[in-house]
Amino acid sequence: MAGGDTEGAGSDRPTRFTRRRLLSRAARLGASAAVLASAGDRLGLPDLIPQADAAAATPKRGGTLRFGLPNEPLTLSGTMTGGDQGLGIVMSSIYDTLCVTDYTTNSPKPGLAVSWTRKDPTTWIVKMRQGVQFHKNYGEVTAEDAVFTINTTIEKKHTGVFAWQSVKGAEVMDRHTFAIHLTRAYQPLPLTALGSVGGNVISKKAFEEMGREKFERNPVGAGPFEFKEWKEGSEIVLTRFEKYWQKGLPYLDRIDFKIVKDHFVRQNLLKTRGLDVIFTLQYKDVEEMRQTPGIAVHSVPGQTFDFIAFNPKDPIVGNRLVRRAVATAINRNAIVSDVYYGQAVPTNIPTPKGFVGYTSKVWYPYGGDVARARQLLKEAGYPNGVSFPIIVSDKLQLRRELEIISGQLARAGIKVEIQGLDLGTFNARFFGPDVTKKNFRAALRDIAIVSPDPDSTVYWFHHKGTTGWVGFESAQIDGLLDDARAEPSSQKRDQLYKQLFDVIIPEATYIYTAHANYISASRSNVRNWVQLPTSIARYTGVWLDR
Amino acid sequence: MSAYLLRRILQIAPTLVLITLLVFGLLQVTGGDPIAIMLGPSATNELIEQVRHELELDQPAYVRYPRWLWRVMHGDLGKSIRTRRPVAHMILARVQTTVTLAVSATLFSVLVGVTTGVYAAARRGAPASYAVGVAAIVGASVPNYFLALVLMVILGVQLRLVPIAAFSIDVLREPQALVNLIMPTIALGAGYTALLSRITRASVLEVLGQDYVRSARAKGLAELVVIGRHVLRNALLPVVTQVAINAVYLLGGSVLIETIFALSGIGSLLVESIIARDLPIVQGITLVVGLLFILANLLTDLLYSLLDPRIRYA
Amino acid sequence: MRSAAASGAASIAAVAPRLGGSPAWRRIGRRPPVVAGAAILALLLLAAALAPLIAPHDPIEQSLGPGLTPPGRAFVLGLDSLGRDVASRIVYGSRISLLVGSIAVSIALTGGLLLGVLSGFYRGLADTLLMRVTDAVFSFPPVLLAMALMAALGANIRNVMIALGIVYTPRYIRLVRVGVLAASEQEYVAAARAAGAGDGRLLLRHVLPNILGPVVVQTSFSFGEAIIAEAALSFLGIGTQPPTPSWGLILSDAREYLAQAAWYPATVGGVLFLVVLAINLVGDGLRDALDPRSA
Repeated sequence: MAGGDTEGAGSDRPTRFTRRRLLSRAARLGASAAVLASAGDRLGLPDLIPQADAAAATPKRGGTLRFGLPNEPLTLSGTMTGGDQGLGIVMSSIYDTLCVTDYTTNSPKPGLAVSWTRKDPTTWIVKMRQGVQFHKNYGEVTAEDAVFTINTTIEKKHTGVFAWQSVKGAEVMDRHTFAIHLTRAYQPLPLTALGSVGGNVISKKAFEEMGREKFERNPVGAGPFEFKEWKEGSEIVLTRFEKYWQKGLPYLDRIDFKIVKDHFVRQNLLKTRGLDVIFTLQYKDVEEMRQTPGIAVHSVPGQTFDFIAFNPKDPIVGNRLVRRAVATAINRNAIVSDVYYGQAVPTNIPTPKGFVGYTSKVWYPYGGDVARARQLLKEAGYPNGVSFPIIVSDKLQLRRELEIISGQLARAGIKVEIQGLDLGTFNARFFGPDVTKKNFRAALRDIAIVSPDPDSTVYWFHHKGTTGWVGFESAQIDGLLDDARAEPSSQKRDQLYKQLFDVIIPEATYIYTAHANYISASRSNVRNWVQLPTSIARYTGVWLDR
Repeated sequence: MSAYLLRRILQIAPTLVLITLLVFGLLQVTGGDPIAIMLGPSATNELIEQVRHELELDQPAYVRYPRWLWRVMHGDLGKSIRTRRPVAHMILARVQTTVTLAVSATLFSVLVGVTTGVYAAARRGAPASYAVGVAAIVGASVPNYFLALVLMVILGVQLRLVPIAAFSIDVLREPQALVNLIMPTIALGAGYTALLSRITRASVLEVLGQDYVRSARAKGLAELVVIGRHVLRNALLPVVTQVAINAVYLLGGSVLIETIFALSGIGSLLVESIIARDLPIVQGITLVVGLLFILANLLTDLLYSLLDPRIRYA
Repeated sequence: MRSAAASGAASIAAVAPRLGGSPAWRRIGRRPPVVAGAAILALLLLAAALAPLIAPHDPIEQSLGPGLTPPGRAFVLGLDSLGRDVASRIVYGSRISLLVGSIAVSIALTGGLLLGVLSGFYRGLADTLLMRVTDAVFSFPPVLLAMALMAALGANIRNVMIALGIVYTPRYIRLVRVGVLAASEQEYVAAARAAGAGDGRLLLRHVLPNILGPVVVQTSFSFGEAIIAEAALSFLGIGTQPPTPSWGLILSDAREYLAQAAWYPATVGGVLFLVVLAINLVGDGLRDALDPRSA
């Protein structure tokens, strides 16, 4: 079931995405003709109003959606990331972003911004939608708010937001127009920055009135739902925003985000009608949940990747041939079927299908090649095998993946000692006190890709000086990454990333194994719930059939 | 009495300081960097250093600890590194859940444990008494997290008798939440119930063997009266006096129980904070748990002096 | 008598162990539950000792058959999700549990004896300081303390043993210290001392025999508690690491399949429960025999 099933939700419901696909195809044509996107009306915003249930009856207004979250957000400020999953999935209902990512084309669509132009390599001009209101009578959304949001986000004190690292600052031009100044050319700006944290426009007035600390717990945005209450550790309550700029939306009266950390409990709450939608499902339970009457499972190939990182200064895994032997011995198909129960895609590269730069080229066969791996090991000077430890965090499926990998590697004469660490210890050893002092020899981990651009998948792993970097120095790689980042033409970028993969994948400082699916499940009376390939969600079109 | 209290309170301070010192030291050895953990993979070194400086984490531990202690003495527990919220707020928001759970499990244990213990002693040799003994040793041997899962699957998922996740156990404000407490209470209290049952049984048996009980019986008093009037008061002394302290010990078990039943208490907050190396929270909770324990100890002593006329504190 | 576990500490007052005189052993032998417990423990020891001989498969070999094969003729206790033989994993797991239990308790016992004697014999500042530290450790639930230690030391089986050893040490310190103090007050000890007996001799002849009973009882309970604690830590992912077949790890894996294969968690949980039960039964027997005044 491995290969076919990864189409997941899509192939399950062949008719449902049709209209959306048509719309987005039209949009793609428009977008490639000019960087400037056309002004969007309601119909031109396929992702603001997901159309997953095109065949369904007229949406009904009202009702409370009880949503099971795996984590509690650290903040709802809209200007800071904490790396928690709960974050995006709650914030996306409170804040509308300047650009909205269309995940069928992986391109930016108008949101609170109606157009964006690259004036010169380091200056972008953004025009905003007029007449949009903030929650709680904080007035109209203006360029001043957007500029404030951006400048607050990039203020070093409280952001580690990768997408904004090339941004120097923003500046108001008129009530609904502003400019963004960059330190160096950064082509994916609308997609990665304007469409994510920092692109969530917050109310400057509210922020200044309350101060950061209070605002983080009492957010004011211009999204479809306004913040009502945060019961620490247990739930976040949002209510319908009556003055939302898309008239008639959203349908729901209220969303209760319930924090249920344990997946076993979360899944059983859905079964016993204690929750209406749950986000993240254990892979092994997908099949069982699909069989459960009254429950729909939504599984889509995720913008995420699992990988093994090696410390290039290590005497054993610093040897390129040893790394290549590991990459060759791994049976990625077995990982997909035994760890992800078919809910994943095997891969050699970090960049998922549909991204600029994606290539289906195979360097290491997905089924693994034990004989070849042994051969490589012999060439590396280890005819009798090698042995080294791999660290892994306590994430359930990663532990399982490493157990399976260790079994696979053992067959090729590579003995792996599994060192499971709690997330805190793992991160401390993986990132080290600074980028030059990592404390691991090999590590297995996963990364969620913030926005669907290849830059977010490779830049901070391979570029010298970023935190994810393990110390593999190469002027060629740094040059390719910088060029690809600055290149305005999508076609040329595509070529640059393919060139890059031809350099980095054979080096195998990082071995990529799989893109895991994002999975949610809902009660069948929840209509129009769409699982996106990432950990954010859109609630405007969701309604309850009672 | 008040002199005794004062002395006890004076003794408390160094113990508390020592507890926090231990925890502080412990978390220094961990090497985990809370800031790198919080900021995630895309943070630059510059940023990490800046935040570290802001939070004064670039200072050596021997500078930070006294500073922290000084602030605590002025009622300020500091701010969480992860959420940047006052630690006191975060603990206060959750302490009620944990205390409710601990109190509820304690009540359950005392009620069930003492009743079955007395019963088993009074009916010594009867099959029911034997069953209580078996149940008690079984209860003491089941790991509480395993019991929690079994309960959840049987009562919650299969029979659907009780909700499987509690969310709220704020029974004071929402009496209907009482039903949410059933499973966590049993799971957390089982071990302690078993212990109490056994202690009670032994204690009652011992008292039953005393001369004055024999003479009461000889006077022809009904067994119930004998037990109620003469035995319980003496037999339950060791039981009652341990209740408060054991309630605090239940906090340890509540870590797993809170996680399994999706309750947001200080136990689960502590685990999260240890993992995230959120030192101010870990220390805050340690301090609170330590304080609770010491208060429980004090309460125990007072109870003891009230119940046992032989003991008087000058 | 602070908790089930520390309860042995309360029995310090009992000063009359009759280990040498053998009626203690006879009394134990007459109680069927104790005998049953001892039998289970003997079986466990045997399983641990003979693991390679009696385990039908390699405990970490994967894909012996389809994942989650229920118990049957081919695999007595079934296969886990990775197709590993559950029976073999449990048999090998007994080694881990016994190892953790005995090393942790040995650390606590050794530490407790040394520090307790130091504290009780020589008093003074060291004693005061030590008792304060002991109080501090006592005022923290043992599980939480073990977790904090694991976070500090790093998660692996060696550190589980060290952490639990440290957590259990204060119990023995108290036990030994009080024993030493009680013995020092005895007239015959004073007399022996006056007669010129050295500290070491006093310790061996007069103090240790007096505290042996409570120490043995405490050891049996701490042992059971250590096995549960190791399982709990591993269950949380901060204890023993895979693929080592620790019972806690097997249980935490089995827990995932409560819905699909209830036999799996039931088997592993059942074994863990049975062993702890056996330890408690034997512990009870020991306490009744050696330490009759405590319940």
